[in-house]
Amino acid sequence: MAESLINIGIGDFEVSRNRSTAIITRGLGSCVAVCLYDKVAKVAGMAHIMLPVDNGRDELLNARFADTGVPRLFEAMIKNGAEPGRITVKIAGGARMFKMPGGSSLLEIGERNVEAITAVLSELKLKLVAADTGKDYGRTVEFSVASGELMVKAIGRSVTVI
Amino acid sequence: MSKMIGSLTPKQKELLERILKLSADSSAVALSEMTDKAIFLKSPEIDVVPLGDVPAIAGGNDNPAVSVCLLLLGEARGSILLLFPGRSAFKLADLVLQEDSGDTEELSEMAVSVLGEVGNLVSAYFLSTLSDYTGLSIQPSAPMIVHDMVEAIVSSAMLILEEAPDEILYIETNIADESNTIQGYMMLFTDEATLHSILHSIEAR
Repeated sequence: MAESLINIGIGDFEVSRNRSTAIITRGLGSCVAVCLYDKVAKVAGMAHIMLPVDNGRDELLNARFADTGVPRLFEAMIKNGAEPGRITVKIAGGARMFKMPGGSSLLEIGERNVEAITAVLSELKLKLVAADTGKDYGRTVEFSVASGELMVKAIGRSVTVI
Repeated sequence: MSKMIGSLTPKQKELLERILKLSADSSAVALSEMTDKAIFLKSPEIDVVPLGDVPAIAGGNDNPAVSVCLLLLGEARGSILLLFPGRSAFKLADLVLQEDSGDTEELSEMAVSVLGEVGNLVSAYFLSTLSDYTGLSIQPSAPMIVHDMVEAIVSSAMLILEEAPDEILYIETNIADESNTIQGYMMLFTDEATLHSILHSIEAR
């Protein structure tokens, strides 16, 4: 059990080397938590991605968009001593919260987020080792700096660790 | 979008509040007829909150809530979200169905149908009042009911338009009869063009 928690708000990111800490983000719906880890240097980072593409809208240096947020998280990992070749990635979230008879492409943001993140990861040559994405329910995730384990909680479901 | 909402003029705010008050009154009358009880809707209050404060709305974070979400169709892009935190939605369904409050944690098919009707009714009155004031033709989609974490619901409804606002507009109200008060929120998410045409049209009248 982590002694302290670093809370990531919507569209933010954080990197930590404190082994008694876990990085947490609550209530992911169509948003996706991208978690990077270097198990040798024990550096962990998480970004709470909201949408696939920046389109030049992002004036703040945060992680709202997959195409700019994931590279920012990656750079922060390197600055904190992570080696690019050792970094592994886990992702969770990207649900389709709302369903409509006949469907609507407007309701598929979660899927598009996951696709955009996967594309950025392969551009950065980062290895995706685990994912708990899609489906139709919200998730709270907790990422251990000491172990790199990602705990996923949802209402009315048992806790899973990936 | 966000910057425009943040800079709502006093007149725009007053007009929006008047539209909301009128539609809340019409909704209360319709809900009273539906339940055969005197139902009141507290005068809705408009507030603008930064994106970072969204999780704190309605008890926040990963606490459970039931929501009714409707997409805007016609001369508008966006969505309306009715949010009932904790057990509020169960209380509302019990009130409409005239049943005793139980401890059920699952939404029955009947409760889902009742909440969808309430969502239809409240948003239909809001949109028709809005149409009267703006001349814009806006209709709601079929209601979508979700029982999940507050932030998962609110963020997903907000992001349907693939825009990331810095601030959101939300409206707090209560639904009550003689013996119960049910906490509820209504949120309106639109793109910049829609909000602009709404504000422009109500001021022009």
